[in-house]
Amino acid sequence: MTLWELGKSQSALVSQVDTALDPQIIARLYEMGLAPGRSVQCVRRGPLGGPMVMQLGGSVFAMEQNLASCIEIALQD
Amino acid sequence: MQRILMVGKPNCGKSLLFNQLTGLRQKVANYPGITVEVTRGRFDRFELVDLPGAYSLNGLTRDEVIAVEEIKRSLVDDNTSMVLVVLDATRLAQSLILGLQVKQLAVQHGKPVMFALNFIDEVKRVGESIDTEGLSNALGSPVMPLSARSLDGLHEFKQALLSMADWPKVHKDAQPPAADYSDVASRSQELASEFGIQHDIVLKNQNRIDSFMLNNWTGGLIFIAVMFVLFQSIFTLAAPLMDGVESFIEQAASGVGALTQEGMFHDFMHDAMFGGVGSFLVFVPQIMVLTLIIGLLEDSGYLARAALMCHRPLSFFGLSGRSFIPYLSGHACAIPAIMAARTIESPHKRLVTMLTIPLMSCSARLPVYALLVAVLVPADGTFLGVFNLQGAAFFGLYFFGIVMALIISQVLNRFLPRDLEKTDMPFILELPTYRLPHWKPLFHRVINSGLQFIRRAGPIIFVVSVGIWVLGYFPLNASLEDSWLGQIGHYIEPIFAPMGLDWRYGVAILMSFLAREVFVGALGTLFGMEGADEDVAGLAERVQAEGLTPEAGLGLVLFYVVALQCVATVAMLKGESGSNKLAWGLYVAYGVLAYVIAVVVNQFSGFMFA
Repeated sequence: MTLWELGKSQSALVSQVDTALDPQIIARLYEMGLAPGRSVQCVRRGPLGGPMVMQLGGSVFAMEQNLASCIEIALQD
Repeated sequence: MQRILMVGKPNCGKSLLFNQLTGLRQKVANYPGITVEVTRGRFDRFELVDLPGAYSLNGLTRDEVIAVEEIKRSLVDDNTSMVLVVLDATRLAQSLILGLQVKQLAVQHGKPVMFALNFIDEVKRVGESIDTEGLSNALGSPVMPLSARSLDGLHEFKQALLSMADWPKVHKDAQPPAADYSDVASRSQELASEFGIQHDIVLKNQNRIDSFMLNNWTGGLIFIAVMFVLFQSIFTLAAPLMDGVESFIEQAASGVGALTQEGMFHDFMHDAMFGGVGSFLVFVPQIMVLTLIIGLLEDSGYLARAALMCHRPLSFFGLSGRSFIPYLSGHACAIPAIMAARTIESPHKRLVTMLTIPLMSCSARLPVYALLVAVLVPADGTFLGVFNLQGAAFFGLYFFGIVMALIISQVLNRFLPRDLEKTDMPFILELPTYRLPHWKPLFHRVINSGLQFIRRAGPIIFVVSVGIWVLGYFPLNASLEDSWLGQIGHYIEPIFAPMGLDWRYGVAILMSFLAREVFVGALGTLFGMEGADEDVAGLAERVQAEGLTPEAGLGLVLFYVVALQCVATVAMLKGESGSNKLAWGLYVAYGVLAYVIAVVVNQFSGFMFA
C-alpha cells in the first residue's frame, strides 16, 4: 500500500520510494526521514482529499496526494 | 571586517539569536539582480551575517535555492572567518541535515564551524538533557547549548564564539578531517537517535493544539476569526498612523512652501514632491502593520497551518497552499507579496500566484474605493439591517478582486506554457512547534518592511510624479484643462465615453496609470478642488452633483479593482519573473480587461439601479 492510504493514527514502515520521481525530490524525502526502513505515523487526514499530516522522526509534515501515493509502505502495529 | 556566517533551518530560532548577539543596529542588504535578504549586524569586532534559512543544501523552493547559493558563495569568501550553524535541539535530526552539509563544505574551504544548540530550555522543560560533549566529539566541532529566548548559556556561548572567531587557524588545525558524510540523511538520523531527545513528549503538545487548529469545524472558525482580526487591524491600527504621516507631510509641505518663492519651483515642490511622493508615504504604516500581524502569525507557527488548510481549495485553481501568504500580503502592497511568492514550491504555481497578486486590493486602491463608495452608496444605508452598507460595499470590492484572481489563476493554469524540462515540485510543508513570538525579530522585520517599500517603490514613484507634474504644468500659466495633460484628455475622451465618463475622469485615470493612488487628488484638481486627498466626502458630493451615473460609477470602481496601475509592481514582476515582456504584457492585459469590465457594467447594469 502507499503512504496516502495510511489512516489516522496508523504507523507504517517505508518500504520504497518511487524511483521515477525527480532525484532532487527523492533526496529531500530521504533527508526528511522518508527513506526505506524508517517509520512514519499519520497524525491526521485532511478533508476532501487535502494534504495528510504525518510524523516523521522528530518533525511533523504535511504532504499532498500526488507525492504521498509515490511512497510504498508496510503497515506496522 | 572579518565575518561570522550564520546558517540554520527555518524555525530554528536563528533570527532571535542574531538579534540577541547584535543588538539594535543591523541592516538588511539586497544584492543586485536577485534579491536575497541577508541581515548584517555587529557582534564585538566581527560582522555577523544572517543568511536565509534552508532545510538542506539541496534546495527545493526558489527561496531555498537562493539561500543555498548565498551560503556557498559566502563560504568561499576570504573575509569569512568562521561559520555558526544553529541547530534546533528539539528537532535534532532535521537540523543536522543542513548542519552536516555545511560542516562538510566549510571544512573543504578551511573555515571552522561552531554549532549553537538552540531551544535548550524546551529540552530541559520536558525533563531531558543532551550530551553536548558527545555530540561535539561526533561532529568534530564545538557544540554550545543555549536558549536565545531564556538566555540560558548565552554568555558562555558568546565567549566561545569570540575565541573561535579570533583564532580560526588554531581551530582549523585542531579539527579532524571531514568524515565522508556521503549519506548525510542517515548520519543525521544516527546522531539524533544517539544524542537527541524523545520526540513524542515535545510533539504531543503540538499535535493536541493542531487537533483544534486543523479540525474541520474549529479550525475553520479559527481561520475566519484570524482573517477577520487581521483585516480589521489593517484599518483600525493603521488608520491613525496613516493620518499621522499625512499631517506630517502637510506640515512639511507648508513649511517648505513658506520658505520658497512663488513660482515654478514652489509649485514643483508642493505638487510633485509633497503631493505626489508624499501621498505614497502614507501607505508605509499600513504595510508595517500588516507585516507585524503576518510576522506574529508566522512566528507563532500559525501561518503554516493556514497554508495547509488552504492548499486543497487553492489547488483547485492551480495554486498552492503557500500562495495564501503572498495573497494575504498583497492586500497591503503587491511588492512585498510578489517577493513572498518565492516560498512556493512549484515554479508554475509561483508564476501564476505572482501574476494574480496585483488583483488583491492593495492599500493604494483604498482612497479610490473610499471616494467611489461614498459617491455610490448612501452612508446611512444598512445591509440585512445589521451591516453598514458602505462597509459591505468595501468587502464586496475586496471579494471581487479575490474572485477575479482565482478565475484568472485557473485560466493562466490552463494556458500558460509550462517548462516541461523541470518537474513540478510537490507540496511538502513542515508544521513547526507553536511558540510565543518574541518582539525583537518582529520589530526589525516591521521596520525593514517600511524601509524596503520606500527603497523599492520610491524611485519609480518619484519619476512618475515628476512626469505627471510636467504634463499638467505646461504650457505655462494654462489651466489644467488646457495643459498638455488636459489636451491629451480631450483627445482620448472617445475612449472613455463607453465607460460613461467625461474627459476629467479620463485624465485622472490616465494619470493614475502609473500609480493608482494619484486618482483622487487628480480628480479633485480637475473638479477645481484644493486638497481633495483630505476631503474625500467633499469631493464625493461634488462628483454626485456633477451627475456621475451609478452604472458608470460601478464600472469605474471595478476598473480600479482589476487594472494594474502601478509601475513599481511591474518592475517587481519583471525582476522576479525575469521577463520584461511578461510584466508589461500583464500590465496591458489587466488594463484591457478592466476597461472591458467597466464598459460592460456601464452599458448593461442599468437594471440594478432602476
